[in-house]
Amino acid sequence: MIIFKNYFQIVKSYLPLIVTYVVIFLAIAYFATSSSTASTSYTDAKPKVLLINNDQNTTLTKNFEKYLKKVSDIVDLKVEEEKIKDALFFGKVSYVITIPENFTNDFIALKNPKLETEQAPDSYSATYTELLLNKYFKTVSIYTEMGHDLDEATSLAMSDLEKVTSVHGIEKSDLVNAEKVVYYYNFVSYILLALIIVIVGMVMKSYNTESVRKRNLVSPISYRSQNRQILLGHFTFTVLIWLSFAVMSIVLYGGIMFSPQGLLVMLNSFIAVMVFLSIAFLIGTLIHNEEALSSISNVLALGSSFLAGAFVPQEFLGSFTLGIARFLPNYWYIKNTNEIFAMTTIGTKELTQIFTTMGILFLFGVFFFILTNIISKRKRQIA
Amino acid sequence: MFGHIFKNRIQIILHDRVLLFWTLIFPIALGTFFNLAFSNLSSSTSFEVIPVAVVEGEKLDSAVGLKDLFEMVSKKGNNQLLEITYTTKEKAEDLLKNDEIDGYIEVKDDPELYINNNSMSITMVKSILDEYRQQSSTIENILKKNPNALEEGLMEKIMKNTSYFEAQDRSDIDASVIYFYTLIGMMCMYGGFWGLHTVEDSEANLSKRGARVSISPISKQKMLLASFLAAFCIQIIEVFVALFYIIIVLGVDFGNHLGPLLLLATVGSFTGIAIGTFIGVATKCKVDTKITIISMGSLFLSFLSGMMVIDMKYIISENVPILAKINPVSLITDAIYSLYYYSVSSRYVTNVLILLVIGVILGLGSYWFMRRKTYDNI
Repeated sequence: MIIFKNYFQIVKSYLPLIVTYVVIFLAIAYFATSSSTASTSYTDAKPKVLLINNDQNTTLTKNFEKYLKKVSDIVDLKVEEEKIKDALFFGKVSYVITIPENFTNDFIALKNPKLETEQAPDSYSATYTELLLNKYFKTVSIYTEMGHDLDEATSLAMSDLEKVTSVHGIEKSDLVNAEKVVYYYNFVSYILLALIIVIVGMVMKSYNTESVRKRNLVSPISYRSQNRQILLGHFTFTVLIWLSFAVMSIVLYGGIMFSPQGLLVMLNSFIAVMVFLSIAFLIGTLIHNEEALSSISNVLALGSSFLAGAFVPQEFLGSFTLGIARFLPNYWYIKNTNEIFAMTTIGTKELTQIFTTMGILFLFGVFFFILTNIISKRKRQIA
Repeated sequence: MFGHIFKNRIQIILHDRVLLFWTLIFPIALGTFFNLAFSNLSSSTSFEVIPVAVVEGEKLDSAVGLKDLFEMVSKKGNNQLLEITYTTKEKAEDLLKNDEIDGYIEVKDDPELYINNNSMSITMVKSILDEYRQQSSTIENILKKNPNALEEGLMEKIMKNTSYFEAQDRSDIDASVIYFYTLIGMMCMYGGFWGLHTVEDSEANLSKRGARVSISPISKQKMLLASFLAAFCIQIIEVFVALFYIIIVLGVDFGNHLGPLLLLATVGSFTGIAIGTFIGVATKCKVDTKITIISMGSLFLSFLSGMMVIDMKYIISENVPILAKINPVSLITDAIYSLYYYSVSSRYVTNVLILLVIGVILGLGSYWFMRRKTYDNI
């Protein structure tokens, strides 16, 4: 087992670097998942809105402000014209509505005046909110056209808009945490893939240095045994990395990680990490150039994670994108994570599906592993 | 001599095909992936029909206009929104449990929705039902005051789609551009690899070739400048090719400020290379370590400017504004942002200048570290 022991000495020589990586990535995972957009329901997010009223304070505008408060987060900023763009730029607001002068009078006169809006380029929820706000004006306008006076129209419109459908079926308390756990594990798939490729590649570089490789080849320890020991070393190390991220999820989200779904999600991520290891092993065997290794790790990890739905939830991706993503193990991992927490009852049917997907994931790993074996055998023959 | 070194470095860089390939592929591949991932967000036309069930019964029949509404939204064709199964409550509960429908609607005093999990589709169904309830209420109120309203064209008014909002400026810009902004920032930082490359071959402790070069009579100044210039040319070409791909082939809209954008990319690349050079010369670790510092450093800095999670940009600028002012990726991202909002303005110019200053300081710093080095042993 000398090579196995030696593996850890090599790791020790890279230790400061490895620890820096893991810490940086843990930090990224922590910040990313504790930010406010760390949930999978985009439409629940209320935009931060700034309302500027250049009209008088009429019933129309006052009630509009009331309704606006319900569907969004009004930000109380006193800003002048020039500073609006600053507010958008610094993310203090994502949506600015300006009520122009004489709006109410024009509105009553059916001149169909328009409110001026400005939106930050990175805000999704503002568009949805605008649809809701439009309803207010449309309803008030219908009332006034049909003979009601403005005050009556606005109060009737407000009471109409209060009628929302009751929705049954979600236990609110658990839901928020479940969403966060799903987001965390999906996001972390990117980090784990990038981390494992880089670290495994780094260590393998030592073994693949021309002179070292040749000396190892003529040693009495069989090539197979060497490979097995190196793999065992990689495996141990990968498990350690996986553990640190799993522990962090327990620290962040507590008890929910020990529910059946939580445990399934952890098992799912463990299998995924093994698949990532096989990918990293393949790359480490093929590529020896350190600079290229960094670029490749970034392209593969970032690219495949985007396509598979780690940053943008799968339900928002187009069917063409998802079609390509099916060839990526990340896709199946994320699909399973989503499904595990979407389960309402833990029955045999659901479990079968989840374990089948885990099986698919596992097959990816086997495939990459076999591929690596074939390639390294070829390389040996060429030597 | 200068020309000779310059030409030589260009040849050496072009020879490192692997690195050349991957640093070029990196922005192009990621840009393509981003485009694929976001293509669906902005296109609201591709839409899957939502399967729901509706519980039959008296209450459903007596709800004015509800059945008509359901018929309208479930009509086969391009505008079909829902796929409705009319059934009993028990059957509907079963269908929901087995995940064959996203939710079912039961009419009590008003339509109520039963679901398993929240999602975009459920929000859509809920809005349809909300609209029904609100409009019914409006119609009722109007008819109370004016029983002839229907003849006076009430339904046309309800059906009409008027918008009371008008977007100023360019509020139709895709929300996904921020990812491309940070991609450009990261691309410029990857110039650091070329910067490192530059010094690898002229520093004695980094490579054998470096040892030979460092004892040659050539002045360090000339060496540094010529190699830097060579790396700069290659990096600029890569960046411009990538920008061409992103803007023309992928069609991402950066606004009408192409000139300032190119200037920004140029200065950004200069700074990226300077950072790489400085790390190569000023740190005392193996080449591999330096490479990973540049790679992970760029990634982390990009993260801090909002590449994976947009909020980071705002969190940092609110809590640690100094960081946003010296993080090169942030400087580039913010400059592009300000081109979008204010067109060429003092903010843009400030950022470009800070980038330039960082680059120059690091460049001079690298030279200072390169001078008069002696080694006891290598």
